[in-house]
Amino acid sequence: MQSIVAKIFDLGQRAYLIINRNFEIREASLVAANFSESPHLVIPGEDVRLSFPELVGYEPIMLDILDGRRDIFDLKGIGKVSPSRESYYIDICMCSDRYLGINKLTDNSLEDFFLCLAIENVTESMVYRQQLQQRENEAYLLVNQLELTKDYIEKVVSSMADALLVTTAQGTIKTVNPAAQKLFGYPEQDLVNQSLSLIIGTENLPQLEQFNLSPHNVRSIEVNCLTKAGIKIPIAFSCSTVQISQDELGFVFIGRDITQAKAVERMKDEFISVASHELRTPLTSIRGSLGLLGTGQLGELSPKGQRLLDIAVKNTERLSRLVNDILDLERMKSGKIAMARQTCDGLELAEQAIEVMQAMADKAQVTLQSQVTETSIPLWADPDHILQTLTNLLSNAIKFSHQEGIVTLKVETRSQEILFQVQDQGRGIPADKLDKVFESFQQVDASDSREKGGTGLGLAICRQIVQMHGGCIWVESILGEGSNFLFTLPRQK
Amino acid sequence: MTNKSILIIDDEDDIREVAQMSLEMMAGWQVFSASSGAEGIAQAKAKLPDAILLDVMMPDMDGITTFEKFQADPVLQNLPVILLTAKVQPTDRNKFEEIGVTGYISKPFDPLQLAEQVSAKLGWQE
Repeated sequence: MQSIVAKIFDLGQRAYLIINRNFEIREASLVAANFSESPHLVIPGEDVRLSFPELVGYEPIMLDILDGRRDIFDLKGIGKVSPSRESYYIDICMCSDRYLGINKLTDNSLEDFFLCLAIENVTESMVYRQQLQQRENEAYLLVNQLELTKDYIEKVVSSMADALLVTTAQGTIKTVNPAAQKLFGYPEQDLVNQSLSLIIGTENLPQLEQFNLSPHNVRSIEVNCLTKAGIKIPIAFSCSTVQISQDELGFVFIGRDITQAKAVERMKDEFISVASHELRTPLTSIRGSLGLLGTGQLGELSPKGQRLLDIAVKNTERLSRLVNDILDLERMKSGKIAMARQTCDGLELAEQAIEVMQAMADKAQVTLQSQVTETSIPLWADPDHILQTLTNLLSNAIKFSHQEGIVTLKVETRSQEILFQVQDQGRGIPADKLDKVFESFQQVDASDSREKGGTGLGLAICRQIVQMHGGCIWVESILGEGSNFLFTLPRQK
Repeated sequence: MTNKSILIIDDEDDIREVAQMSLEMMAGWQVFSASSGAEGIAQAKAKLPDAILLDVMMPDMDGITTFEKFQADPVLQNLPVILLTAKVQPTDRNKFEEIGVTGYISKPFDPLQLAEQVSAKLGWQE
């Protein structure tokens, strides 16, 4: 072998052997013995198969190369173990010296040709190849897992009974599930990349624009949507923000057809309206008749007869109040009664409330007083309904006060709001009932509605009125010492 | 003030009767009654009362429609009309003011107060 080639081969990772057709080593590079488990046999004259037993079985191929029937043959990835017990891999490339151009004789006999074996340590590339294979396997598993997850999510979305729409922040639809397609009557391709206004109408889009695009922000909206067939259906949407791509937020809408619920609500409203009218009409006759009997103009009644008449009048009035309160509350809840806001004065309303309730306080021997330090407290509110709230709270405070007790009405301006307080020195409210007193028919004591003549709806009406003004109402109470009912209204802007 | 005459229009027989007795007993007024808007218009033309108490919720022709017919009739358009109605909401109140009724009295009314309420709405002094 040429000396330069020998030097190249002796750089450490490569070696060469030259063998004759009897497979005897004729020449070996310096490091060739390093690739053999029997390095002492890597010497000229020894059978190469003793030092490189992996060549056993390849003799016909080696002879084919020597005889010119084959140019080259590679044995790849042969596993070896070094003397220090470390695994490594070699490739052996075989060709004849004639093929390499080293032997340029043309009239040689076949005996004159030799086989060159180039040995290369390929451990590093094998390790890379194995790592690559491992990565490939892992990637395959990951893709498989992703596909399973995607399949799972698609199944969940497809089987949802509620309509699902995912849009960009500008309202361009990106995803619709089958329930949405069925509900709105459009195939998927007619909705994707279209504006949400196709379904919710352009007039409702501003609602979307006002929606704060911050994570975890969830809002409920009711919208009359339009189907492909042009039918309007009321839909209750829950709308939340979602990260639809790396740098873009969008909306997820989950909608439900509330046609049935709306119909039930309408029926309930109609029922309450009709029932209250039907209840009021006979009440008017009963109260009127009892009142006229009580005048004595139709003949004097015996004391017992008069007592029975008084009971009948008292209970007729109670029933009237109950019917009125039920109707009031339902109308407010359904939005049929709007708050007719105007500029008014909180102090004037407080004075009016005290004036209205003075007779009741006198009868119960309760002192009614107001505590005000300001000269005027401007309010943007419905004066009738605020007066109703104040008289309700004062009426309760008087009812639950002891004789000689004091009921105090305070009004003051705070930084952002007006605070009204009605304090009494009555029996107080147990801590576990404080939250419930504003619910319908949730009096502290079940006998209160009979003994105190209330309907059980007064505080529920107060809460409704205050909430419709954007305010808050709550109660602080110490059992045995008294209660303080507080409510706030936003300051006039 | 006992020489006043009032026409009550209400489809509820009992309420009509109680209201009639109340006004007769408490104020001594002469009271006519009608059970529908159409009958009320006919009665009003025949009797020409000093004022009319008109129920709002009536079948066939409701109180508002009946009032509009009064307004359209040259003989009846100047008759003061007081509506008898269930609890009045602010929106109703605005509507009543717009159409120009003399006033309204909430149901259920107090029979002892009814004549006084009517007098106050019409500016009739004792």
